[in-house]
Amino acid sequence: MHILRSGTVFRAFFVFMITITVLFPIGVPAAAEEQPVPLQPLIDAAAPGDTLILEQRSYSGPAVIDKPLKILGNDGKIVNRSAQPALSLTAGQTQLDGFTVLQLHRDPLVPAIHITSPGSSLSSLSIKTYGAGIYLREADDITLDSNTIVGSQKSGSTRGNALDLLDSSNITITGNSIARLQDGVYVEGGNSFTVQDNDVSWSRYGFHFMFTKNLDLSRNRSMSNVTGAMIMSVREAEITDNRFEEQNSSVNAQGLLLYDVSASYVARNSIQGNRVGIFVQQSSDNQLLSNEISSNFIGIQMLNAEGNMLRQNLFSANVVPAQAIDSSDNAADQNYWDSAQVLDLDGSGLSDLPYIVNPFFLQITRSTPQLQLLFHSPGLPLLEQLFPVDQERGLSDASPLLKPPELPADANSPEAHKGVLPASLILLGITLISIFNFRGKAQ
Amino acid sequence: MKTMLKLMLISIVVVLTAGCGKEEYAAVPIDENVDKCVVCNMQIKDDQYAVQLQLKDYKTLKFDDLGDMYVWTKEHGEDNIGAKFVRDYYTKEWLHLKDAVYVYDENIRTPMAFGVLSFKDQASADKFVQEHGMGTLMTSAELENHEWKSGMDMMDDMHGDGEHGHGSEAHDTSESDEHGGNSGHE
Repeated sequence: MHILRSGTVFRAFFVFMITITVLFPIGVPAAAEEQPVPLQPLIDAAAPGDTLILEQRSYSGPAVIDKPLKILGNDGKIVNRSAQPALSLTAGQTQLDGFTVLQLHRDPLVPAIHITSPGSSLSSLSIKTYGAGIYLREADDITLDSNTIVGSQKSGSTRGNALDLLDSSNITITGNSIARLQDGVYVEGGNSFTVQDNDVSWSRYGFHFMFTKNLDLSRNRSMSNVTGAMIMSVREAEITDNRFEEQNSSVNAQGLLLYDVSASYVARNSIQGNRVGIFVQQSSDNQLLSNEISSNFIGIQMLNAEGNMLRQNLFSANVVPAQAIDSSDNAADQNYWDSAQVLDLDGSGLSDLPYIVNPFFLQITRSTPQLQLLFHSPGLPLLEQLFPVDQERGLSDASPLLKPPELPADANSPEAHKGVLPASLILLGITLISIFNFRGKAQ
Repeated sequence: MKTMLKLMLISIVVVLTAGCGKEEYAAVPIDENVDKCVVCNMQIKDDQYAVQLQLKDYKTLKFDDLGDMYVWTKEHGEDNIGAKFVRDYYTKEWLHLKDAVYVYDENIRTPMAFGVLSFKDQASADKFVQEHGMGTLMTSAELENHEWKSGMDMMDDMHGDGEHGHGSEAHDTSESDEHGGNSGHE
């Protein structure tokens, strides 16, 4: 009995593919340009507290929002060719949601949106900029949620920062997606930041914090940037459940850099495929726990970093697991090193042999960086033995783990699982259809 | 005999000029793709804040902020330094540190927030102070006694927490002998 004819199946598949292509277009052709409506008169006409709804058409900037307003976009678009920011928020308590901003002036120091007042929230905006994205200048209590910020194809110094915060406190930055800018999230000064579930790629530094206190950086993802997160002169940061991956195309690339960081907690991060996984310099009193550091050229590099705790971290498949200088006084134990020679006499699960990191390579390359050419050269182990360096100054794990620690199972990549079920169902469906179909043919 | 004399003369001239060329320290260009600050590891932009110093063996160390150069010299000393270079704020031309004029204000933004700018002459420094309505003029000699404060130190002042300063001082002393040995073959 025929259930389906093969032609029908092919036709169905064809229709299915076309539907997918239509539903998820890769490139939308630009709509015919109509004459944009100037935005400023509309704002001037509105009373404080009003709601302005943008129609599905073009508006022209720049505009200054000097009173509390709600501007909601119905897929509306603000185009700004001037050397001013497309929108300047000077009055505070303003809500912007759901429209597109095109900042076409090429200047890395001019943002699409400039905020100098407290209490505003920006959500679901799509910003395309040849300059910078959103500037906060001494603007407290701001929420930036689910915005998309994309910069120019031209790389280098012409790009500005996507989110650039100066001396602003109590800031929430969640669910933003950023590509091709200078720094994804740049924060200088200020206090109390919640930065979660953001995604930065193809930029210089994914997350860049300087001179800040009280930072929660969690569940973010940084991919293919020069550095995933530059944490500099920061106190009391919580850096957890982030993914810093594939920072490997710059000579200075690294996953996570801690410089002059103290009293911070770095846990459960997934740091993979970077030139250097974690770089720690002049930082103390930090806890590095349960991080997964794998497939990097160098797992962890420590310079003058003392008084930190390294525990339950997993180091696997790194070309060189660790390098350290003047970093002896760290409490390092119970980490898993796949290259460690271990011996467990009492069955505790912990090795009785310490894992000692030889500082030799870092020592010679620090004064002469060109010697990095010798990276992983076969002669190096010999040289290391010929010129024993004071092991006291390096880093050593007192009791390495015999087995990898149980890291929270895929806590870092919940979205990876979301796609699996529908994909399997589709595959199963196609299989069943073809089985029934061929069985039909055979009869 | 005459050719011999000529040859000797030529070789002497060659040797002398070669020597002369070597004696000049000169600033080298910034390569944004490769250069990072020796102190803070940040990318060095090819901008007016970039500075560099050349050691006596002509090795160049670059910094993204004049303040970081002072952080370095405080740790490693001045003995091995051949020349220091800063840039004019307006033209970005390289100048010897001792020939430049400086402007400081804690509200001037520089990459590491030390807030010191360099200018080729008094007139352009005055121009900056007038344009921005802030800044105190300093000579290169006064830089040596300047209290180099980055954003972090200001944060400390704000929160009344002096722990950081103590920590780094202790660090410097524990390191000094090691770097003495190091600098020999640099």
